[in-house]
Amino acid sequence: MSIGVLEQQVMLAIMGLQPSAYGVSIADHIKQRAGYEPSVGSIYATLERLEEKGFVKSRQGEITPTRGGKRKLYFTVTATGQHTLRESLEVISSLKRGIRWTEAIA
Amino acid sequence: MKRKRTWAERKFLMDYHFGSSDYRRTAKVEFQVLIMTEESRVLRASLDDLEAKIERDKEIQAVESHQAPEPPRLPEFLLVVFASAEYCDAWLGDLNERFTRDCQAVGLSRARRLYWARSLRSLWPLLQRAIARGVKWGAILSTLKRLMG
Repeated sequence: MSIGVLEQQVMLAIMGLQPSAYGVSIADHIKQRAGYEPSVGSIYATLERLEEKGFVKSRQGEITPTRGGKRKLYFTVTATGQHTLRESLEVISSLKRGIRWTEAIA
Repeated sequence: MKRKRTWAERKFLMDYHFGSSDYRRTAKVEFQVLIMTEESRVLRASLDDLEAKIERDKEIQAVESHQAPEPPRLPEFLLVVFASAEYCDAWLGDLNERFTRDCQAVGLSRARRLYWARSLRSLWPLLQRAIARGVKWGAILSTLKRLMG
């Protein structure tokens, strides 16, 4: 099963932030590493899609006063998700192989 | 601002100008003591006033720090309408967390504007998901209808 770029980034962020990956921390992580800030909406839409596919699972977290009494939802990447992510990244790596960048840009 | 003379000061001034030379010397010392007393009274009153204002400021700051600012309600309502029930609470919690962070960093009015912007940016992916779910259910229903009859 193929996954999109934002799905790849979200899954990588979740794995990088283990075990405290939730909406805000995922968005901040992507902003730090990728240089753009995805909206909370697109992050949750992606997470919903990934959970439907069985690539991530969620668990309820704690309530903090700064969140207006709303619980955090922590995410982890499942074994299937990790396998699919690795395959997807390998496809990109194999596609990258043999490309001569300067000539391609020119 | 020129200070208004008290009746005692005025009396000493009269005595100073119209009394004997010995009396004038005594009156001068007494007059200086009176000025110092009067000045310290005025200064003490100003100090008390200032201390009261500082206390009031501290109380206001304490109340403000306990009252968490409220995010705008309309964008929250829009998100609740379109978000899936499972993620709705976490989603609003994330927006609230950002809002609290922004309030401390850039102030309440700017934080409110940023909350609006974030909510509106979040609406499009939400709508896309809602449409996708609707289309999927539409396809399932039409397939069932075809199979049934």
